[in-house]
Parts: sequence; C-alpha cells; structure tokens
Amino acid sequence: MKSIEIKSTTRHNVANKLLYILYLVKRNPLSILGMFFLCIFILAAILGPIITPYDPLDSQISETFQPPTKEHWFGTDNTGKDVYSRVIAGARIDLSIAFFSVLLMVAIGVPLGSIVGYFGGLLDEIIMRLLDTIQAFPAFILAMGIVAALGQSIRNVILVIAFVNFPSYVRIVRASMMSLKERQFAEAAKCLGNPPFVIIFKHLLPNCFGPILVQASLNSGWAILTAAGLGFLGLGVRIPAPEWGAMVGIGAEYVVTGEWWMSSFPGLAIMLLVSGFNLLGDTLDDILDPQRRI
Amino acid sequence: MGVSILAFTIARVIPGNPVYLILGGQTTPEIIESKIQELGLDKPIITQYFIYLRNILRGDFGKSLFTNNEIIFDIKIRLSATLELLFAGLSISIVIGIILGVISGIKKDGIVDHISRVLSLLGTTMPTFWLGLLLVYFLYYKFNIFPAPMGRLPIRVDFTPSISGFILIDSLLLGRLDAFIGGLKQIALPSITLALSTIAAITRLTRSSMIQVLNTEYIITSTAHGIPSRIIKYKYALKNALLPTITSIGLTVGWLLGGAVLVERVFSWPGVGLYAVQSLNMKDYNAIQGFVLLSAVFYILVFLIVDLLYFIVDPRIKH
Repeated sequence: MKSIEIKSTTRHNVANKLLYILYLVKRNPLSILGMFFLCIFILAAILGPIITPYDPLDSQISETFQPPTKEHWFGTDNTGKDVYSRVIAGARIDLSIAFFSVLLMVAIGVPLGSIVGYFGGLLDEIIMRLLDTIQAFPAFILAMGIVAALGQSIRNVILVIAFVNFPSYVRIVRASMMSLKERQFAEAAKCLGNPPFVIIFKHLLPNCFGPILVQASLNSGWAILTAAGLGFLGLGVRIPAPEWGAMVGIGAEYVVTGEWWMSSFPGLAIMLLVSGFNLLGDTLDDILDPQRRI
Repeated sequence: MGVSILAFTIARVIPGNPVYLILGGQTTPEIIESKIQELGLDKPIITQYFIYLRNILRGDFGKSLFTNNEIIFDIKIRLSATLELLFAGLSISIVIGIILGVISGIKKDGIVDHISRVLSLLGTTMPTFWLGLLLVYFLYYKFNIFPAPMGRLPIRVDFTPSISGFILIDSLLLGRLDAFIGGLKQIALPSITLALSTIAAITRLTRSSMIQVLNTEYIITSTAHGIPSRIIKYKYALKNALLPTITSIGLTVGWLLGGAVLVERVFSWPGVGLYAVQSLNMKDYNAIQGFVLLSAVFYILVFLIVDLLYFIVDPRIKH
C-alpha cells in the first residue's frame, strides 16, 4: 500500500518536472528554433543518401558552375557536383566530428578532472600545469598546427579538436569537485567507509552533470566551427569529401566573380547547425541552473 | 618552456623524413648521412630538444622550405600587416561591444538589448570566413562599395609604410592622403569580419557586469543621495563594469589571432596568417611550427600586458 503511494507521487513529480521544462522551453521561442535546426540536420545525417537527388561525389563536366535551378536547388560547383546533395551529405560528416570529438573530450576530461579535483596535491599541480601549456596556444592555431603535423583525415580532426578543448572539462569538473568534497554528504559517504572512487563517481560526480551537459552542447558548436575552419584552409578531410568548411573553401575563389552559391549554402548549414547547438546549450542552462533565470 | 616542448613534439611527430623533403628524390646514402649529421638528427631526442630550445631562444626557427628565407625574417616582414589587422579588429570589437553592452545593460529588454542579442547569436554562430565571403559578395561584387579583397593597398597606390609598418599611421605621418584612404578602404571589410565574432562576447560580458554593478549598494546609496542618474551610470557604474571586459581582452586576442588566419586567406591579406596557410599548402612544417610557437608567445605577452593594465585600472588588487 505504502509503496504504491510513493510510486504515484514520484510519477506525479516527473510529470510536473516535464511540464515545467516545457514551460521554460516555451518561454524562450528561440530554443524551439534551435531544436528545429538540430532535428533537421540529424534527420539529414540519418537519411543521407535517401534524400539526396544526386551522388554528392559525382562530377558532371557538362554542368559546372550552374546557378540554383529546379534541377539543382543549390546549383553545382566547379566540377559539376550538385551542391544540395553535398550539403546534405556533409551533415553526416560534420555532425559525427562534433559528436565524437565532444564524446572524447568528456571521456578524458571528466574522469581526469574528478580525480585531480578530489585528491589534489602534487598530481593536481602537475596536470594543471600541463593543461596550462595546451591553453597557452590560441586554440584554433594549435589545432591547425597539430592537424598539419598528423596529416589530414576525419579521425585526426576529431582527435585534435578533443585535445585542444578537453582542458575546459577538467577545469569545470575539478572546480566543482573541490567544493563538493567539503560538503556534508561527501563527508558522510566517507565516514561510512566508501572507497574514494565510489565517493567520486557515485556520490559527487552526478552533481556536476548539469554544467558538463551545457558545456558539451556549446562545445559541439565550437567543434563544428573549428572543423569547418580547418576544412576551409584545406586541412580537414580530403577533397572531394563533402565537408562544409572545405566546400566553402573551394567556393571562396569564385565569390569575387559572382558564383555565390558554392560557398553560401554550406556556410549557411554550418551557421544553422552551430546556432542549434548554442541555443540548446542556453536552454539546458536555463533548465538546469535556476539561478540563471533572471 | 612547456610551450616549446609541445611545439617540438608537434614537429617531431610529422610523418615523413625531413631529410628527404629537403634533398628531394635523387640522393646517395652518403649525402643523406651527412645531412642527418648536419641537422643533428642522429643525436638523442633530449639533446635534439635542447639544441632546438637554444636555437629558438636566439630567434632561430630554421629556414622556410618554400621562400628559402629564415622563418623569423619571413614572419617579421609580414608581422605589421597582421598587427594592423588585429588592432583594427580589436578596436572595432571593443568600442562597439562596450557601447552595445552598456546600453543593453542599462535598458534591459530594450530595443538595443534585443538587437545585440541577435547580433551575438549571429556573431558566435557564423563561421568567420563565411561572413567575410558574404561581405565580399555583397559589398564588392554586387554593390561595389568596397574594393576587391586583394591585400592592403589598391594596386595603383605605390606606398611603403617605412616608419611603423602600419599603413594607416605612416600614410598620415608622411602626408599621403591617397594611401590613407586606399588603405582604410582595404582594411574595412577584413577588420569588420574579424571583429564581429568577438563583439558578441564583449557585449554579453559588459551587459551582465553592468547589470551586476547597477545592483550594488554603492550605486543604490548614490541614487538615494540624489546624484543625477546620468553621472551614476556613466561615471560610477561604468568604471567598475568595465573591469571584466578588460580581463577578457586577452582571450579576445586569442580568438582574433585564430580568426586572422582565416580572414587573411579570404581577403588575401599579406600577413603572418596567410604565410601560415601558404606554408600549410607547401607542407613547410618548419614555418608552421615557428608560426604556432610565436603566436603562443604573442598570446602570453598579451595576457601579461592585460594583467599589468589591470593593476593600473583597478588599484584594489594591489592590496
């Protein structure tokens, strides 16, 4: 009897929470727009080949430099490839760069940050100095230098973006660990004889999920911008792979002569996807951190 | 120190043997052997690192493979172009960012606040290079308001900035008005492109610190004393509200530096960033490594200057 009652109240709570989240999302119409962009690109990435009218890698020599028409919605590029098909195909590449690089940052940064934040001492000192070194470089330039050294491939771009940016997760998690470990529930868990790793990963870490999630969302946007920047310089994936930044890079030469469509559409795709991630980050921040809702 | 280790590591993980790159295809084992000794590649890796460290402390980054000059020389002759672009971009973003931030902080949810919110969304999500291309397309190709994105000066104008290296300053000092106007037109689009991505961050920061300062007790007290609100806002509050903005200049420069590489490529701006891009295309790893390392040094220097500036602006931290 009693257990059923408890269950119903928790269900009630969950429903209430969902309603509240819905209220917060509704309050900010921009966040709905952001979700909309994200959904479109995720769909494009999943459906990919099904919705592209042409092969994104297929060159038609007779159809180079076509402005947008009914046959080619976004026109064709300098080698006669269909820009619309390439933009759709690019969603898969750019989203997977964002997803895997952020996953990697979190997978390295969060455990490392928790350990150095909880234990402190010499290890903390050494690791933080190492991270200072990474952050002493302007992020984009360091990424550029390392990709140039490692050689261009999607895997290397993902690795480099994660490497340049994982220190921010270490810092966030470390800072909250340092304050959390002084709290009473942490002391209590310690007094009950829990080993440090149980305390860190079971009791303390769940309290940092909010800021990590927000950071991850914002970082996805940053990762896409960086990947596109590298692609633009001819460093990211190998041409003719349909990566948006590289497409803008190829189209850049033709803007001065008026062939705008080659660079405009992939650039627009980058912007919409990045704003989707940024708006999602802001919304998450609103939902997870009540103090920010001023 | 740590920075140099990282840069050294980057250079050493490069695939391919630098000896073959330098000598080309047709060589004998003896020549390769002597080149390896000349470059010190036969020594242990730690010794190599210290030789490298000694060299860069003397400003010796080795030779560029494609211009065949000392890298430090290559960078030196291109530095003023990049610095001029950075200064222009930084000033635009600081001035506009502070003005927008202050107004939207004072009038929360007013028109300016909404405009600056949209602007900052655009600024943080638009890829810098794409924005540059859009500006080129509309303002050069379509409406022909600004000149073609080809370097620092119009082709007709013959002028070398011999005093400070900055075209906008030297042309005024030497009384060359044509060079000044030409230079201004050339730098307008790249510096606006560069600035827009950082205006957003500065506006947001100034706005939130302005709101915070306006809620402090000393502002409320001065309001209670009947001091005109104009003086309170622009004299008392503004000074303290700008402190976080000043701190953020260091980070802003880091952003601008990364952005400058992209912007220089879009506008064929003959600076260090374009040099780096050209080196990338020629697989000239020495030059890239020198560029990456020097930009870190520059970045750290800027942070140092900002720290010193902070001492002057905020006397409280002396205690």
